[in-house]
Amino acid sequence: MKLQKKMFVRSPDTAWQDIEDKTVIVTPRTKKIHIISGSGRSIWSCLEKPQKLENIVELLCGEYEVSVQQARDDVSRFIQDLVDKKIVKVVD
Amino acid sequence: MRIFKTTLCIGGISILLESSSKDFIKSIKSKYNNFLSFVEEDNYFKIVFSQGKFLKKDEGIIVKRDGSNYSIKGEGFCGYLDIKRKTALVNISFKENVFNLFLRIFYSLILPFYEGFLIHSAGLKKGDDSYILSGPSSSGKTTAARLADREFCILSDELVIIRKMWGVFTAFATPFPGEFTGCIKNDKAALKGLFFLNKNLIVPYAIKSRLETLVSLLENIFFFCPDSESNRLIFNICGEITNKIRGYDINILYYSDFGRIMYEITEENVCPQP
Repeated sequence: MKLQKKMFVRSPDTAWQDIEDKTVIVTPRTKKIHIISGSGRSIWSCLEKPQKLENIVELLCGEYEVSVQQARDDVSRFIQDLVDKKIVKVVD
Repeated sequence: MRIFKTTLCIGGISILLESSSKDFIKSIKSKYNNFLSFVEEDNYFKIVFSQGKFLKKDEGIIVKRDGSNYSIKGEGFCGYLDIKRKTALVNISFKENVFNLFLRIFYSLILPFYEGFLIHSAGLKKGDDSYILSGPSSSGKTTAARLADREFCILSDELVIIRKMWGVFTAFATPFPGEFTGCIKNDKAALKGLFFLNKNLIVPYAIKSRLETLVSLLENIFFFCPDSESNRLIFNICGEITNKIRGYDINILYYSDFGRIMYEITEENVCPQP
């Protein structure tokens, strides 16, 4: 899947809570518990509304000292993982 | 056709059971004697049972939700449950173990709407306080219940109901036993400690962080529904519990009187970390 042209948003099926310095996410269908921290939380936070990959990359570059290319690679990998786990869905 | 009835109260939620089979209702009255309800209520769930024959072995338990309706299918029963109307129609093979499995699933589905859930755990009550010792199969729930039998009132050795009642998280006894052969009475008490059985723990007990407690709670909840609303309700209740009640890993093999230790460590650690 070419991520660059897609938009992403939190799956409405998920339930989540911020606890201590982490975010705990539950996916009802798989009944799995996922824990994200650090920059992952920043990404999760902005996925409340549909976002393009480049918007998320821009956000991360503003928050962390990281090159655009490095941020793009990391965000792509992270988003793909969230999509595979059905935590995030692709919006057309 | 004559209809026979009885009422059970489990976890503070009453259910009126109806069937045309006198023997079926009679056997429920006999086997669930401690959970019979004699209070006239108009706020109960009504479950109508009819006898069914199930020749094929089903493929596990299947629960589907459509609005306020659930369709439930398991080994020996199938039916529909309407959460809003508080009614259920169930076709069931009239065997006690099948009825017990149906009840477990029924309560696991309705409890999130009553700020509660069923959790794999032994439940122990002493005075006004209760403790749960939670864990999967073979983790030692029945052993804990047997060891604590003299000192504590046993709420269950398999599945305990936890509900928020008037702002207080309360553990309820259930008629869902594992291997415990002692008498389980319909009792409840304010929940004071969440203990997670861990045979690999190299110290007698260890305080869990709020996050660890939440994850352990979620891992041990008895639940079949795949819909997001119920899961969100359970998730929120668990989050609230971890704000108020501390969780511990415990290895009961370290103690001859782990009940006293449970009491002492929950007294010492009243307020959880924010």
